[in-house]
Amino acid sequence: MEGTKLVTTPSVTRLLSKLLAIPAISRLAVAAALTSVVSTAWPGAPAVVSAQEHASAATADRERALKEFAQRVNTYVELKKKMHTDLPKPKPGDRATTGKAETTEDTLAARIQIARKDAKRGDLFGDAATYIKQIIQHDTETRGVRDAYAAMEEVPAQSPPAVNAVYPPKAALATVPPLILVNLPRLPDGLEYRFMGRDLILRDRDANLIVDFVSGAVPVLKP
Amino acid sequence: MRPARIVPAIVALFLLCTSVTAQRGVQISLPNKPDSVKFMAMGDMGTGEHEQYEVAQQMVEARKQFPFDFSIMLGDNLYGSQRPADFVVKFEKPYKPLLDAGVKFYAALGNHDEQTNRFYKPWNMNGERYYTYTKKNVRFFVLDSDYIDPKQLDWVTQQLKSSTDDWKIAYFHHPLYSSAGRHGSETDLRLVLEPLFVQYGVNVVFSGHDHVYERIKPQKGIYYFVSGSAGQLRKGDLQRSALTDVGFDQDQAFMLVEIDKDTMSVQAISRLGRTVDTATIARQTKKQTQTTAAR
Repeated sequence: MEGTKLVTTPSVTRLLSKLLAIPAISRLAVAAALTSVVSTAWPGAPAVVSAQEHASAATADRERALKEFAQRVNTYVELKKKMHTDLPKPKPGDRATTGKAETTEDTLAARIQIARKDAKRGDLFGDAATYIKQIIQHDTETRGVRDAYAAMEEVPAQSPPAVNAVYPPKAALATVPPLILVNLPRLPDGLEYRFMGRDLILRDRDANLIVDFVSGAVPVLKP
Repeated sequence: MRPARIVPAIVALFLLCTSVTAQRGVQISLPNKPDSVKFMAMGDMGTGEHEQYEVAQQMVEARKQFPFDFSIMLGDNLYGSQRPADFVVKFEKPYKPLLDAGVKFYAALGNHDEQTNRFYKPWNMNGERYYTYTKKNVRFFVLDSDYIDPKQLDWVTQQLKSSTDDWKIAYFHHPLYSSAGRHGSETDLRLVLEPLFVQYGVNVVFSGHDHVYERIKPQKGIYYFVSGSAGQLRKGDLQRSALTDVGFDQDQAFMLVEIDKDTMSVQAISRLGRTVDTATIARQTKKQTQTTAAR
């Protein structure tokens, strides 16, 4: 193990002495020496490193889950584009008087429903559901019960939602608190998050469809 | 005169007065300057019930004296079913005289509005959930407060930043400040929107959602109005608070607004044509708003 030996010559020693005279390098050297002593003499030290590793592994899991969610959302958007190709894009004047906007919406919804006939809960959210729940849980804790109740005040009670079902046409769309929206993963145009009961749905705005949902996303509020 | 005779006399006098007022219609107390920006504001109107029609009749009467050429709609423009026939009963019929006279409507969406309503041509939304337009020296910023996502926030920031108009007016459905009991202030929205309004010098904000009329005391230098009772009404819901300057929750109401150079005048009118509020507002500069907010 000759390669690991520290060879000290007079010139190297002089250089080291000069370097250690610089305060910042001197402090670094002391810290390195202490770390070395603690890690050999204190058996608990490796556990600290392990906790850090654990945290970084959790972060990696989270990033992976959110990335996969984004990929599945993009796949859905691609599917929707295909379903939409021969349908006229609604334009001002298409609502009510001509009924074209409603026809486009209904046709698009029907096509997506057929294309995704086997869709089930979690197909898009996947593992990201856990992290989305955490975001909402954290928000609820931050704002306090009274404000949390206020935020959920107008949420339609219809529950549970069903994947690939039409969002109830006469149900009001409850406002999603902007402070939650800034923390949730961004969505492409035409998709949005909405609350329905205690569930968070992913709603296709153009087809008025429930694409997927996170069950029990809103924690039970205790007064 | 004996008390027994005084009471019927007072009642008769009261009835005479109210009947004269009803015949005269709305009494406009706005400056009504020839080149001013004149508009009407209404929220939460689309019920299709007779009260909505009665309020609409007062709007038509008011326009005979105060020729506003456009109207801002503060959301919940239609309730319940929203098929083509509903647009007729809940919008086209009650406001037909205004539509026929060329009054333009610019809508914000409320939580009861279907989102495809942005494609309804008479509401001039151009298919957008949020948009902006100008009338002379006034720029309007119409937001979709149902869903203020980061994309909409970026948009409104850019629009406010680039606006050099004298007056900046924002309107959307949910109120940042309200003393009504049913909903009250939307504090979440306030946290994200108010700093932008202060920073970029928004002068006035109109909202609906709470089915009352309320003029809020200026907050951080900005004037706020809740006008959500042009069809719906939540009688007695106003819990007057430190925020309230003037409030009215006994009947349906709508607003007339006039902007002449640096002055805005408002008048709120009830379903029966009674004036329930009048106010004159001097335009704040961006610096004034920021200074007030910093205090």
